[in-house]
Amino acid sequence: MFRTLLRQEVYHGVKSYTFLSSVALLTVLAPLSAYSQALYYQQLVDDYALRLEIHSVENRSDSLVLSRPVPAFLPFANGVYSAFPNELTLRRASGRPAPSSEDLQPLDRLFPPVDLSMIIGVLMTLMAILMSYSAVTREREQATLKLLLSLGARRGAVLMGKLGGVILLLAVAVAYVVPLYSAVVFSYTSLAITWSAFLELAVLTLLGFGALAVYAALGVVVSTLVKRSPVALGVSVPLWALLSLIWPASVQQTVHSFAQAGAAHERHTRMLRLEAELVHAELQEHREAAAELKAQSRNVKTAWERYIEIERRWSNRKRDELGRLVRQFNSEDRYEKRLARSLLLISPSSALTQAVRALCETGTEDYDRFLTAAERYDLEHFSPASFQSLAGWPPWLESVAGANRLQIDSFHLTAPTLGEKIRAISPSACALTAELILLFIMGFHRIQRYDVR
Amino acid sequence: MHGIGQSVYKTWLVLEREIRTSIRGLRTLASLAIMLVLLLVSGHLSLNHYRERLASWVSSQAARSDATVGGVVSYRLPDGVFHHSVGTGPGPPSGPPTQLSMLVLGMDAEMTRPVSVHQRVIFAPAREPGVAPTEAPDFLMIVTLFGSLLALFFSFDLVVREKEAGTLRVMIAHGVRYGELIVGKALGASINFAATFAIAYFGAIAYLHFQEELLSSPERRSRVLLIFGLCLLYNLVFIALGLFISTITSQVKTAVVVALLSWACVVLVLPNAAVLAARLIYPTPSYNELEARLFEARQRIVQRALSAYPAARSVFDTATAKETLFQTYEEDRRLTDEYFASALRQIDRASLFAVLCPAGAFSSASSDLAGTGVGAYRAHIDLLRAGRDAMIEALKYRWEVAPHEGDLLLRRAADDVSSRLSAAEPRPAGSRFALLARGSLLAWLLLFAFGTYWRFRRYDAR
Repeated sequence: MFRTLLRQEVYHGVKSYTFLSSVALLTVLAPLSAYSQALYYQQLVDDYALRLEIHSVENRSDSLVLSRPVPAFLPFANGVYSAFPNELTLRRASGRPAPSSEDLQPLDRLFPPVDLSMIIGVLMTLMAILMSYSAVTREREQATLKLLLSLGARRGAVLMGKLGGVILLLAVAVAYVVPLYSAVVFSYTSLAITWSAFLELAVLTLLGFGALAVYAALGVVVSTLVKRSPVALGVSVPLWALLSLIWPASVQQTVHSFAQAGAAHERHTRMLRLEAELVHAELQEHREAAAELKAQSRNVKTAWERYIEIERRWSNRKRDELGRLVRQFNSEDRYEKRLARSLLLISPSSALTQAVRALCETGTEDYDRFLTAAERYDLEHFSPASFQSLAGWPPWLESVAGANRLQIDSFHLTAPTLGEKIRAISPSACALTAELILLFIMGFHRIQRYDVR
Repeated sequence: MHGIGQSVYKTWLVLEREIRTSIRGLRTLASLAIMLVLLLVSGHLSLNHYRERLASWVSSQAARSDATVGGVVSYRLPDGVFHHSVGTGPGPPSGPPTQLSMLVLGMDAEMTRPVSVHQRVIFAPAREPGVAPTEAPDFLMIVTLFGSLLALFFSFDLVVREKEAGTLRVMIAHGVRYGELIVGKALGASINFAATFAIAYFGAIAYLHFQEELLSSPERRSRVLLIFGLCLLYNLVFIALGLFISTITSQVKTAVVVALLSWACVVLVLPNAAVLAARLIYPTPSYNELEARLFEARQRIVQRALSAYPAARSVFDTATAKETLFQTYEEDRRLTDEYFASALRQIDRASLFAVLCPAGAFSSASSDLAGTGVGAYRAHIDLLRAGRDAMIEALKYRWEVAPHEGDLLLRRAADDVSSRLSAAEPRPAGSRFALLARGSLLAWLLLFAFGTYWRFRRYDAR
């Protein structure tokens, strides 16, 4: 009986106006967005290569610019990539990497671009709601539900048939949209189609399917809670709007406004004050050292060694003290970030968004990884090489070509492995699974008590 | 006259019935509740976001008034000299956020980025590393997405519901003409929605005024009213669209699907298509490409100067140092102006194309009214260009005067740029696209209205 119901649901669903017009709309929107994203991605990649070229000429022994590589899956989910600086300047004299200049993005502020995560998280979830909100109420209104039950179909089987049919159709839709989008992106960018890319796309498709299944289950559950289709629509669409649009947009800001963590401007002021104190103390020590060396009539070579020793000590001290302050800020933020992340998992759309950003390396954690890698590079490579260069080329010597250049390993940002990405997306996957199970239990419980008259 | 009076009376009856049905059926109340909650939540979050940005700006202004900590220490030894210089200070200046960005954020974040203005204009990142982005859903987003959805909700089944219930035939049988019926329904739905939206909008504005004195100046009051008018016009387009959908479908469930998919098309697809078209037809170089061209140009000029003086180690060791430097200033100016012209042209075209669709027109016009749109952005770029020109003139003039006078001149020019960036509102409210946007919305409204009227005259009421 379940198979019959499922077949019937799929058959009617495929021919339905909702499914066909949604697929038609997606056939226009997906390639359009993919093309737009491909152009944007290619420009970023070209810019990145250009920046590396510029910096290879401009980098000096006392300052170096690190550029953040463009994530390969950026066209699929822009995330917060453009919200953070994509270059950091390391300076021997300062304790922390500082952001460099950034491109202008006025159009993106006024007309935010559409990517695949938005197509699935907003449009296709609306499609899921439209296909499922009247699953039970329509049968009741047409009196076919009574007929089905009188023919011996169990209520649970009816619910499973309805839900299964909608979920199957959504699986077909997502299996259509993702390859269509990917085909356009791979055609217009320099991205290579590798097994790893294929696997990541498969995971992305599964995540999208999971979110759609939750919305389909939500629509079916709403359908078991009311008796009329218009009422079911009136409840489902606002729920969809709340979960897919309002909740993701407002949770972070809401948690931030209630959290105890310090405001950004207060922290910035504290950083500036600490830096000013350290610079003041550093200058004082240099003045004392200069006066002492002059009084003792030391030679310039001895003075230079003493100078380098003081410079190295202050560089390490600035790094330690500023780093300690930043770690303090991060630990204050930890509770806020964890709370925001947990609350975001309540909405299937934002759970999907978080997971997709982790998969495409465009989340906040990926930027933190870049920042940490830059700090480690500063400590392990740049700082030692810079001081070595300083010791080797004192300023009173004739400058020689290449004297101001560093012999240093280039900066590499290790991309997370697929296993690490899957670990990162597991909270979202668990949340989606739990929501689906919960909705299914609710729907099963409700259909047993549903008034079919 | 009697005929016209009868017609008006029947239209009034239909209108009244429509309003009563909507109130009794809880549609009006549900919409009011949803809109009020959405706008209040959005207002509150936008208020917090604005306050955060304002506090950042205030603290950066305070930091700029502190003395820069730094200096140069000279190690003077009998057999050599070397120097150590270090310093730290606040970042480059930035402009304050505008209060109306609480309603429409638009390009405000771009206009409040820290920016160094010297012989070049250098845009710093919008936020410090490690500070997570926390943008709030503003009124523009709420009205663009939900206002239009609710407006569709008010009207998508006005005709088709009556047909399914059989009451359409009854009304026509009682002598109500097609035209009177559709006009009455349209006006009823519009008044219902307008009243709902007005209560929600002004409720949220009252909250913002209570918290942050949003309406303290007459200019701001008039802009808030104009934004309300624009929101209403935008939503009326969707009421007309819903009504049109109701006349081309014969079942409510079909009308639902067509309405929601049309909404997705109008609100999401068309504006993106417009921006993509502008980017393809009017490509603009990236900021990094500009930097590369500036670097190449400078290298070319310096190498040419140095080639005439093989013994010179830098441009300042040559007799033509002044001319060489002036050349670099002019080349920097030319290339940067080309870049700005190209970027502004692309933004203009994107806005022009977007104005052709309702959501794009609404975004353009409302951001212009709030002072966060294309017009204000253009004025901001012009301000930066003027500041850059003033700095170049000061740099050139420095060669004619004593060094300390030259430094004073440069500092005055820099302070002037900084104070103009920090200047209080108002930001310019208009651009040539604002009128075009309003015209576009009106055109769409009339198009759907006439389409509805024409279609309903041929509607099969059976």
